[in-house]
Amino acid sequence: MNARALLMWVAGALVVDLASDNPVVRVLVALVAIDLLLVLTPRGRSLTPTLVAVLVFATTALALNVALSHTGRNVLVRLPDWLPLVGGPLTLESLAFGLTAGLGIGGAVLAVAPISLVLEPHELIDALPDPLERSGLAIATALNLVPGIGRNAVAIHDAERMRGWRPRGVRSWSEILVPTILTSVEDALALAEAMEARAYGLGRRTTYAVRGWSVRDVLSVFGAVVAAGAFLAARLAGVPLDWQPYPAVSLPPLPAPLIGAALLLALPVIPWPSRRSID
Amino acid sequence: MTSLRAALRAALAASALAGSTLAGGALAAPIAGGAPLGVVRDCVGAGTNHAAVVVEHGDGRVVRACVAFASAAISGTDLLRLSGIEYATSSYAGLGDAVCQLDGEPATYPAGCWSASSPYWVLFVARVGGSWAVAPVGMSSLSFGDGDAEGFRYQPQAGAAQAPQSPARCPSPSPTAPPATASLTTSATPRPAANLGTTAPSTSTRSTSAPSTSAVSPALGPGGIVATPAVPVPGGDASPLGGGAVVPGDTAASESLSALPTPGPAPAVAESSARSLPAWLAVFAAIAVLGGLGLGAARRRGRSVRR
Repeated sequence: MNARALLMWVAGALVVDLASDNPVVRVLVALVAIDLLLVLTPRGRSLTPTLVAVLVFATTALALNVALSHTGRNVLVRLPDWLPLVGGPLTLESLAFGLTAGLGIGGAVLAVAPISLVLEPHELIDALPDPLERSGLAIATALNLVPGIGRNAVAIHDAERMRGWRPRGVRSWSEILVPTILTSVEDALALAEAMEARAYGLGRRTTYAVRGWSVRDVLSVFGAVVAAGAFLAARLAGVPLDWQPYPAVSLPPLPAPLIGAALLLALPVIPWPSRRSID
Repeated sequence: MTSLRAALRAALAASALAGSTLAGGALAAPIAGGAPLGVVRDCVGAGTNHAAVVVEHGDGRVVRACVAFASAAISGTDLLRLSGIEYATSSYAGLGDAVCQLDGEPATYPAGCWSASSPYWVLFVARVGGSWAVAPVGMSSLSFGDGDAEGFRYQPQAGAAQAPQSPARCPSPSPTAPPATASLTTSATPRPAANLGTTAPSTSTRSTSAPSTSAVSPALGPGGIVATPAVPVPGGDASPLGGGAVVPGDTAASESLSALPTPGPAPAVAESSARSLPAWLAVFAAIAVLGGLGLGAARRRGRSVRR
């Protein structure tokens, strides 16, 4: 899938997921995002860590809300009041609100997951507009240095301890910090020289392979733009989108046009006859 | 922790409590039972559309008001303001305004409008002859048209929400209906009702401990609001129309109002749920289709990995 089309889909899905507290919309966004990951993620890349992380985030949001929010009319369990924080009634309403919050977090994580799971770094750089290409490359390079700095810090720390170094307050950490920074600067200079040797800055960046736009890409962008536009317009127009389970839980509203707009996000996962640019 | 819990509780309760002023259309109550019924003799304001406001205090006192307005819809805040009932609100961002004080109750309140354990004002909405339903947002986020009603009930945070018991009636339920003001006015004269103009001072002092709150205490229209003790209605529902109470000697009102549609006992939420059944079926179908697409993609993915 074209990187720009996928990025626009991600933006649209994020807008839809975050523009409303409606759990139905969030369920749809999460399902569509999972389908998209299953369809587009290259073979060999596991989705399990992402799905586990989403589950952990959603469960944490749910547990925190149930434990800390004691509002609501339908009491499920009542914990002793002397218990700090969690003492008091645990209500169905806080459970419903926690589920909605978890769905929102999970949907947002799943919506942006294709950026790391589907796209390669060079595809992201290629997707940037021309004026931002060099800035994007510099930022991406700088971000790539972060793991290297961590590795350097661990290595220097281990080496110092083998020489008898022991932490003795804040000041003693400068003996780790200074060589770490110096090593990182040396690495950055080496990387800059390597990039310069490869003609960085002498002209437009060449591309190994350019992925064109397919019908599916166009439909994906269309669906994302319409969905996000519909939700933003509804929000600006004051259309009731949100669902509040307090004080008594009830069924969320189902604004048909907006539900339909959210379903447009599923356009890229529909098995169209022509799939040449997908694989 | 207490402050955190109080803040959370306040923010959550705001959605329900907030609507202190929803517009109600002129709501005429079908009469059936045997309890005193407050009758609004005259509507405050001018216009062909009417909305009712019902305020039920913690001690059972009920205040009813009718507001006439010319526009097609009116915001909950404007409805309460026009009704003449004293009120104070506190804004809860996207949820709208929460009602901190109504008709002088409570006399004072904390900066957050209510404490972790204090009673609070629950906002109810009734649409054109329907039953009371808890408002999902504050009154500033709601609008009311002809025949709607806005209800408030001061109740503790624990326990189920109980809708205001007594209905509100406006003299003219719709612009096309015959003017019922005369019959209501004449038949209501024997009622021992206390005019709010004397029982609820419109100039009651506003609490200044909550700087973010606003207070309004407009003057009352003559006879525009009537306060009567709330009496439980045997078999009555929570509808602002179908209170199931009767006004002694209110024959004319009974006759003129009996032709009006009687609200059903089913809650508004149930009615709306029934209406949205096809939409829910469509949503479930969409979820099933998306799940099927995902399963298909997962199977294809699994086969390719095994190869």
